Amino acid sequence: MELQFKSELTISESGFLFDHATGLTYTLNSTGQFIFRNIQDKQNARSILSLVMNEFEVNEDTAHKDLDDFIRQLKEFNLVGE
Amino acid sequence: MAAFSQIVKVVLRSYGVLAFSAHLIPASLILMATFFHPMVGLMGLIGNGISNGTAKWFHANKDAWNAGVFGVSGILIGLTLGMYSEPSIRLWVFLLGGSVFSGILSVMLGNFLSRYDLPILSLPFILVIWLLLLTLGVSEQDSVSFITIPYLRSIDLWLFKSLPLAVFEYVKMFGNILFQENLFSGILVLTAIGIYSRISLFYGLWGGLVGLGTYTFIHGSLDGFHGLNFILTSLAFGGFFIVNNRHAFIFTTIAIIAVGLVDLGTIEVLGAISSNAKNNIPSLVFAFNVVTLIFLFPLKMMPKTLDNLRLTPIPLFQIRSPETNMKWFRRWSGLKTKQQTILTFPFSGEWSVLQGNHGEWTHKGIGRFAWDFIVRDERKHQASGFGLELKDFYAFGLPVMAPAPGTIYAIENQVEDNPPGEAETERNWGNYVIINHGNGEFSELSHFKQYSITVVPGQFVQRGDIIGYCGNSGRSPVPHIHFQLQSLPEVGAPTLPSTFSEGMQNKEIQLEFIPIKNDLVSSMKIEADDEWSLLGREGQSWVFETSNIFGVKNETLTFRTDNRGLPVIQSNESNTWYIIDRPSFVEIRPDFKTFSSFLNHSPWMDIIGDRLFLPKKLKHGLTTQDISVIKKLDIYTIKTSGYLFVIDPVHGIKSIQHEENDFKYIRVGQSKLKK
Amino acid sequence: MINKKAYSKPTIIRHSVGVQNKFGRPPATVPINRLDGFKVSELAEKHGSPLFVLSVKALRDRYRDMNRAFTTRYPNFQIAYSYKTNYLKSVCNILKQEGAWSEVVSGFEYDIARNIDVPGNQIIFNGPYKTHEELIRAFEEGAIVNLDNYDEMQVVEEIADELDKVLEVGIRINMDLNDPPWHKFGFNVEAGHAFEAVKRAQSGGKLKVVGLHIHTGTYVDDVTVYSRAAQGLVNFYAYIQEQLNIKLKYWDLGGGYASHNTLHGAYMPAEQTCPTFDQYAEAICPILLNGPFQAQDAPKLFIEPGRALIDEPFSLITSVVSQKRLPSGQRGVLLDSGMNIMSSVQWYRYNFQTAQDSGAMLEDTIVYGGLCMNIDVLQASSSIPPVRRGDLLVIHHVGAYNISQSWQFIYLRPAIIAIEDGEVHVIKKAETREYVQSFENVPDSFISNK
Repeated sequence: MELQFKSELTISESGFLFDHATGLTYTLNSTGQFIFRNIQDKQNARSILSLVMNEFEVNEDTAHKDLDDFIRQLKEFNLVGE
Repeated sequence: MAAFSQIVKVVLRSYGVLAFSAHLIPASLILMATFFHPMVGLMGLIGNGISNGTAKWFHANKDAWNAGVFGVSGILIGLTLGMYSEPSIRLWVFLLGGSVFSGILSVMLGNFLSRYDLPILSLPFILVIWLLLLTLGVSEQDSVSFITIPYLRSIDLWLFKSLPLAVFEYVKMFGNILFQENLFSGILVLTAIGIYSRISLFYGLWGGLVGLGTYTFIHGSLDGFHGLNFILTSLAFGGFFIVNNRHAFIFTTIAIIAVGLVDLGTIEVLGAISSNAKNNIPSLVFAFNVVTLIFLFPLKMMPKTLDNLRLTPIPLFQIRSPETNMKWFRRWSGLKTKQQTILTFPFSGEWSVLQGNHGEWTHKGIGRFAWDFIVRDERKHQASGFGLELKDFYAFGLPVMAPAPGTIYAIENQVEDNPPGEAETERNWGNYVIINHGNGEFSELSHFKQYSITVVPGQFVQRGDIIGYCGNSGRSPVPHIHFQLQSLPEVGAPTLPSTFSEGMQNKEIQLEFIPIKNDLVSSMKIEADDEWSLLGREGQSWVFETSNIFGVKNETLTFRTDNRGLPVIQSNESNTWYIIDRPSFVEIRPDFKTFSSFLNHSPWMDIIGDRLFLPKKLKHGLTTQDISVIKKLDIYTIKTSGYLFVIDPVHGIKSIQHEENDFKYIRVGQSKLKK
Repeated sequence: MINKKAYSKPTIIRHSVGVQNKFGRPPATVPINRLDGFKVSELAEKHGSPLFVLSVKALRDRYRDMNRAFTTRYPNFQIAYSYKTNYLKSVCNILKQEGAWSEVVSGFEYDIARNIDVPGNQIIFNGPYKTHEELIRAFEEGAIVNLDNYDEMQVVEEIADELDKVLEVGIRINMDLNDPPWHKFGFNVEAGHAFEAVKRAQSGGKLKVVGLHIHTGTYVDDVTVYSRAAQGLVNFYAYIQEQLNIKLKYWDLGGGYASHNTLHGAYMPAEQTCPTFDQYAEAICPILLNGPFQAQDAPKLFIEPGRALIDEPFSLITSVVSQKRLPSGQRGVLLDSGMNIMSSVQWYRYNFQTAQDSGAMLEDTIVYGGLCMNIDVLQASSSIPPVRRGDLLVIHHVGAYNISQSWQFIYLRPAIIAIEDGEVHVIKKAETREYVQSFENVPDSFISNK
């Protein structure tokens, strides 16, 4: 499935995320930032998983589970849609 | 014209002060007593006038001057120069100069001694006259009588021969305080003292006896007896400068004996000094002055607490007569006497008691009968928001009012307000106002906002007049009003147990009550139609007819506003004005009675005055036990303390009857107020 | 072999939702899901939507705060509640209970007051149109009557003859205080008309002037207007006292006190511009106390607040009916309340708070009322989070004029409940068709059988 960010988001080097529409701000840790940038690059969920496993020292099960969680959170915050 | 009559009064009063009887009628008798040798009397009067005049010119304290204190030495100089020196131009010049000098000296000594609250007595006189007599020389006068009015003189001589010496000397002693040596002066002085005060009369008589006894005992005979020091000392300590009780009696007796000794000693010393003169310089009132001041000084220095009450000196400004002193003492020492001042709350709207009597923080010891008032909102907070700034506090800047009518005695207006939560203990009363209610009681209100006090000392305030605004100065961590009633005018004087005469306590009407911590209190709410009384509404006059065995007498009482805007009841009969102080329910107590009202007492004023607001009380259901009321078609028939009142709320009294006396009342009708 | 980075679970943390924006109020994303302890959704379910909710505690608190602010500064003070703002029987009773008098401007309002047993001598009867019968009743029952014009004065003089006594009256005056000045009511001071009116009233011998009434405006949030009015009153009193020997029993500064609703076009929100009761009192009382009288004889001070007391305690629960996207891209939301029960949207910029958690994303929305009229727009532009049909919104501070000026139009008017001490009371049922039509009569000739 394709993930799509809402258009009004900007992120800084340090992981500070600002949503122009709501005025709300968020902080992402480094893993989160990595995933975020890949979503911006229009990657889908499956490919993001392998990118994460390449970049970080993590086993597949954990990475899969965490990624699901993270995406769910992004949806809850209304930052992504499909 | 008013100024002239004021001067006349002061001059007269000085005569009264001489005999500790400073009212105009006794004073007139004493003035008369100096005129048995008219020239001498005239010199006394001139000395009086000049002395008083000089003192006024020399910036004498206004209240003391009005009391006549500065004329005393002038009178005595005049009298003495007349008695002990030959008449001559030089004598008159010395009278003039001596009186002027005594006036100035009185003011200077007064300023100095007032720091210790000590009287100047006749000290200036002694200092001036000795100087003068040393210069002038003392000449012998006919010492037997000194009356130059022929008819009276012969009677006096006859009495001198007929009466036992001791008796003659005894009565003569009283005149001796004016340096008179005849019986008539003695009788007049005795009468004057007796009119003014029975206690003084008793002590005068007693002092005379003790004095006679002491002198005879030491001297062996009555030769050269001058009793003036004995009389003066006994009057001074006989309830005048110290409160009359059995300790004062003993103290006075000791003082009288001491005076006798000192006088004799003085005579010896003076005899040794004036070896040149034809006659010795007389000791005059030296002994009295010295003994009185020496005995009084340590008493004044003692701290004014409730522990050492045996010999209690009374503050000078407070002294009128031994009787009033005793009343003041009972009140001041907390014994159960009636509170004189009708107190209402010194603020508007509903406030809360932060600390009451016997409070846990600062209302302790001599300061225990006091209250702290604050304002809270519905959430019980003292401030909006977080209370970080003074202006957040609801009480800050709210008007503070006079709790009873009176004259402003002193204020302090310069102290800065503390930030919330801080308090200063150095100037711990902060900004304050002290009000003299004219009845021996004072109100002290403190912690006002800096520069917010709107009254000045000497100003007369009515109940409810704004005197300043609530602040946070002094020992005050949160803005609040501190109030206490006291019997001395200094800030921080010991508090008197007191009640608020009327008000709302936790939304209920209360009379004569003591609010406690956390009570919500406010003044009575005044409704327009509450303003009726036994005397109807303002502008109405009522004629009261009394018939008894002496005939029928009419008195008219008028309920009106005087030219100061104060509501008063005026009685034509006794020509007195009773200022009405208008709390809502408490009966009025006539304020500021003049002396003439004391003699010409209006019986109707008593009846009406004590029950003036009875109708309003009835309307709100606040009757006391001895009242029975019947209401029929808006007319009240009230039976109380032997009186039967029939009252129409709109028009006032319809009739008054008394069980025993025959009072009859006729209504004259409405008189229009003319502007 | 490239060294892989250390892994940690990816996280995203949203920053505190309660962050203040520049106007100092929490964003509309914070839901209000309880009113006075009761869940909004349950209230709507039980009593319907729309639903007016009165917090009785809020009303009592506002009255007591206003009373405290003035009574601690002026020794003879009385609030008279302005009935036209909201004359629900429960509201009038609560305020009567708290000690308020009643300010009425018509026979109808006078009757409401008397019907809940307000004594005649606790009613202030104002207004430019009072009938002969109404005036007679007012004077007989001891009400305070403020005269508006000479015609009225003439009628009252006739009544004085009828009742055969001298009648005590007040005179309504106006001053050039604000822009534009209110000249519709009463007699103008600056032009000398007020003095002439007082003089005329006194000299007729049938009336006695004992009071002055001034009403500076409506929603006056500048306290200096009141200071000037107070000073004007003091000056005028001094003048008529000196010239005509008048002694006032009362002076009435009227109403106009602001509430926490923001006017259209106001730059700052009302939370910051609305003066506190203490500020109003401080602007008025010290000036009046400088008048020509002893503190104990101060004339009674009346004020006639309306919205200042009753706006805040009321809230409106309303439901979302539908939503759409306008051609301009702006979102539109339609509610079941319209201007028929929220006519004050003409003056105020209301906030709409959700009663459930609708997420964080605010969007600029035009809020439509439910009436079938294009002008029924409650707010042209408001930031509201995403809502769906059936979601509940809460509008605050709606107590003044919305109910008393509501239109019975298209929809039946909703129920009104009051909450106090954990109890809900229905103080007005929702209207029914039968009730609305109950005064109608249809002649048979209109009922067609042809």
